[in-house]
Amino acid sequence: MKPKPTTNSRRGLRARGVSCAGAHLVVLGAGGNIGSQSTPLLARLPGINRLTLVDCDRYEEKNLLSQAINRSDIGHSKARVQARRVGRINPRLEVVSIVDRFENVPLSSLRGDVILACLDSRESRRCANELAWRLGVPWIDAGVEPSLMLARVNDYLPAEDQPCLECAWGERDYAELPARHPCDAETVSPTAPTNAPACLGALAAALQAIECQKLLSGERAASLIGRQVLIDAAAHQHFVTSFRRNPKCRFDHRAWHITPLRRTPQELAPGATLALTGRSEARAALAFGGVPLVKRLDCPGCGRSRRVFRLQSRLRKEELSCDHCGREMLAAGFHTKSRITRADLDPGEANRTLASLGLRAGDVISLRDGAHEKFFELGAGSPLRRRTAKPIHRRYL
Amino acid sequence: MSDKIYEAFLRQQLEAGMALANNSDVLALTPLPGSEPPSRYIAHFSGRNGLVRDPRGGIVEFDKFVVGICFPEDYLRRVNIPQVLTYLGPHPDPWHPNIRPPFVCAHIEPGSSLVDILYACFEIWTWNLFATGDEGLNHAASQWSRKQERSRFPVDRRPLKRRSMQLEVTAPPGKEAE
Repeated sequence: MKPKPTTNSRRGLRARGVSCAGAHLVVLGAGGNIGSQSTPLLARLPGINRLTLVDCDRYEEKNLLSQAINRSDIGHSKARVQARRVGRINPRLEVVSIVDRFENVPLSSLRGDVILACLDSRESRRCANELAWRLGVPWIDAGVEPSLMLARVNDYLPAEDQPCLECAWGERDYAELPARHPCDAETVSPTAPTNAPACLGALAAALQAIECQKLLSGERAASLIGRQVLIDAAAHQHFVTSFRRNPKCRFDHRAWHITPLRRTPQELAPGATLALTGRSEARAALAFGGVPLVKRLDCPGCGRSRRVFRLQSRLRKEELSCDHCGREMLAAGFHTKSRITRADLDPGEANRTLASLGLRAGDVISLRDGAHEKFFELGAGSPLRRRTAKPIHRRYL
Repeated sequence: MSDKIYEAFLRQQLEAGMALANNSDVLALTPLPGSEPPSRYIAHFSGRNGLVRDPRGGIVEFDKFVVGICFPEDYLRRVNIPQVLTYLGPHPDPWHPNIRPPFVCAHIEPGSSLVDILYACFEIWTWNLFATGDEGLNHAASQWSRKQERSRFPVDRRPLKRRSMQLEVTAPPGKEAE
């Protein structure tokens, strides 16, 4: 039987005001100031049967004041702590904890009915927006501004005519995103902690859970799609702002229609993948969800170089570290490829498995032939999903 | 190409970049095939306007600087500078605080134009612009530049874009025959 594209049918139903039972929620930044407050609320929502919690960090002592945790949680992974907590609240829930940056998690693992972002940086919100749009999943973004005692929540429904996060961004917003310079001695430092009080995080989390409930129950008119609610806790005021689709938005607003493949990354090679296009193989270009393939790394400290053949976001620590000076090696633009054709591959490279390039089950690859581009999800071999009362912990880091 | 905004950006860069190269005595710009409109360029800067370290360790002038410029598909929305600029030679040991092959460190924001990038590269290569602190890519060159007289820089004062002048030359009376 020919596999069908995995468009999110529930989204279509919800758009027509039909309720969505047995929902799957994906929480990004599940253990932080907002996430640690939001996760237990989401676990108590009716009609939820699956929660995926993603967070790459571990709890530290300084988190005790700003996040909903106990002293015994210090030193443990945030996603796992929250998964265990959710399991105690609602043992019927299927809970998956993922200890990794969500940008690095295979796309299919993050396909739910609603994505809830509890993130702390502009860049990670930009990535969450792109992720939700590609998957065609509604997402709810929550945020706080502790210095002004502000809590806010935005709803986005991926569609060509709907505003996305970047529709409201100008040149200055993009300029403020962290940029990687080759002269930076270390990786771009993560954003400074917001040090937001737990009560403000709880306020944003409550707003987020309410909006999630409305979205899932199909209350389209009452939901916040394309709008923002901001509560000014200092002045006891609240504001609702509507956003419009910006025709000059720098994000393409494209949803990917993804076809699942049975074959796994261990079974497929770049050459065989290009052959999936049939007659037009010579013209076809293979891409890896926007992540470039690195062929050579160079050390900006001592100038040494190393040949690799791996996706940039999946380079291993030992590959990135310079043997001579220990500095992080980088890939220059002319040593990477965002799209590879048959002509870019030597015979050895064409026959290497996609797994050796760093691809995992659930990752999305695309094949472009002229103006047409098709998206494929790499198979897992064995079913990824299994129902269990115990949380499933996945660790990629 | 399905991203209309990115495609329009690339078309604009091709037009503006080639216009600048056509009006320059020191720049030759080559768009690379692979996508339409092109997203990769090779910029050749020429003239005695850069410094390199010779095999004996001396700092000498050098007349060529080639840099590769890439606009990744998400270039309008995020910037990874090593991905945008690549030093392509031809000298293996360029002498500049902001250059260590294959990296060139310049200030680039998401959506910075090709012309702005070409100017940034030209200013770096001609020592109009250089990092004097220890944040540079080549610390020895930073240290060296701090010890130099400021009046030595830039090495070459010719502009990247040829200045057009409206000149009307009239021969003095009686000189027409010459």
